[in-house]
Amino acid sequence: MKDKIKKSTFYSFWQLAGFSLIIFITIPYFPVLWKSLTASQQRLAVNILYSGFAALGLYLIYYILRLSEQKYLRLLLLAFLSYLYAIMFTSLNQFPAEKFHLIEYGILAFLAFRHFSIKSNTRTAFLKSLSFVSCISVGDEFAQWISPNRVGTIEDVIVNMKSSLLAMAVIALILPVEKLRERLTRKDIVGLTYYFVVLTLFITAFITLVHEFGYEIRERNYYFYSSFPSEKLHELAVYIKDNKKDFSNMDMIKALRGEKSDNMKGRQKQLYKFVREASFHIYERDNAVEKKKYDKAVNESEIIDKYYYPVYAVVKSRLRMEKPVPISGASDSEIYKSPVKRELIYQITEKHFYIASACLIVFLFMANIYLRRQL
Amino acid sequence: MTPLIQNKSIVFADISAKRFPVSGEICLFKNSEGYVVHRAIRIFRRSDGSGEIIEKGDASLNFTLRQSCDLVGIVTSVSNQGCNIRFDNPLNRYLNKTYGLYWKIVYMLNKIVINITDGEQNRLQRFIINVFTRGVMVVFRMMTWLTIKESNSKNRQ
Repeated sequence: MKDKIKKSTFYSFWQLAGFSLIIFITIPYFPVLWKSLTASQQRLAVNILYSGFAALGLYLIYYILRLSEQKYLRLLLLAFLSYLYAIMFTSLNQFPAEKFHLIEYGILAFLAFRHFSIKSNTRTAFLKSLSFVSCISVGDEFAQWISPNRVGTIEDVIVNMKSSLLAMAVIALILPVEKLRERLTRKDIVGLTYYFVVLTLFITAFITLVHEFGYEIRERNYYFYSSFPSEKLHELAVYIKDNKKDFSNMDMIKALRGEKSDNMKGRQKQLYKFVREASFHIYERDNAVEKKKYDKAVNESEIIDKYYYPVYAVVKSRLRMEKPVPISGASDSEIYKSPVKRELIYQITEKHFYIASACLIVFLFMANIYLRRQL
Repeated sequence: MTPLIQNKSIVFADISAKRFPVSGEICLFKNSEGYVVHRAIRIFRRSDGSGEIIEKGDASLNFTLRQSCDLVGIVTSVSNQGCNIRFDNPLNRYLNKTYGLYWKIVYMLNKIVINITDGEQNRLQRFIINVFTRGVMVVFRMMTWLTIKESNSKNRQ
């Protein structure tokens, strides 16, 4: 019996490790392969994915109907999960390649659950596999951050976590009820605290390295992220317009090109950041990559006119003086490629984020110590 | 090598180092146009002291093979508009090694991907078209065979 458990642990571990490795090493080449397909082939690939999900759904219905307990409740839950999957698929319509994350992280969650459920009870296995898959997802986004043709963001980590949660819900749907009712023991919780500490550290490190904190500014038709709140943006725009001595047009052109002077003070640093943000919006307006290109360009124009008008005035005058000139210093490499320093974490401040992560880690350690004493 | 090395960055390299770089270290190479600073990914050493180095820039996916005689030195620090990054401290050395290890593993896939995505109608497209057409052909043959079988059985009756 022990040998059997050892053998199955060994195989499930290597399957899990192998699949994680495949996720990591295909990161730089997935867009290369995807772009090499024609549009119709890409559609075909996505349709095959949908068909796969539909086949899985039919198989699950067949499997549930064969079960003796709580058939109809399970079918109802399956319908609800299918609805959630449909929402996930439609939310990723803009980037169809991202839809493959759903299946990728679904398989990973399944492999992780299979590995952890050998030695622990079901609820512990779910929690352990969720934290493990989240760590892999953060690692995946780190690898995307260093890869020149990918972008790593916390939003993608959230999408991956959602995919793994959905996959785990599907697994829970077909498990016997007694297994789901197994309670967590103190020993399980002690083991789980280590997993959650590692996950918190991973997420904190990722956000610290890859993201910047800022504000989300919402209007009726559009929203955008900025390092400053909207009042501060207005203040900086007026300051740039009126105080030409502190920040001349030459300084602005330098900032547009991304040239930073060594001896910049507090206010000048803010102005430099303001001009860089303006240059990104001007670039986004001129190189809108979304399907709704016209709408995007119109929204970006509105943002520039309302918040970054003094910078655009200089760019326009520069355009009139000499042609052709680079409109803004921003480039594809800065906006869409790593490092994604301009993807901003909004609605929470940097200070609050670090305090919350520190508190969570301290709480987990204290819980760990308290529970270990009672074992 | 952006974003690590940008326009107007100053790069300091140890040209007296008579050693092969470790995977992940940033090196200064000479080429026909002058000098180039890239990251060493894989190192092939021969017993006679010569060897080859596979290098790659951080901002591109192209791997280039260079002879060890083209290696001028190993980069020790970079100054980016007043911000100095040293590569000889333990943390950066470890990060560089991890970075190198990752790309070393990815490099194994490189040839396969280039092989299947090269050419006007690449192998991947041809493979998908072949699988699709063959699948359709198999279904068509099966249906023809079933129809013939059915008509034969009807004739016998």
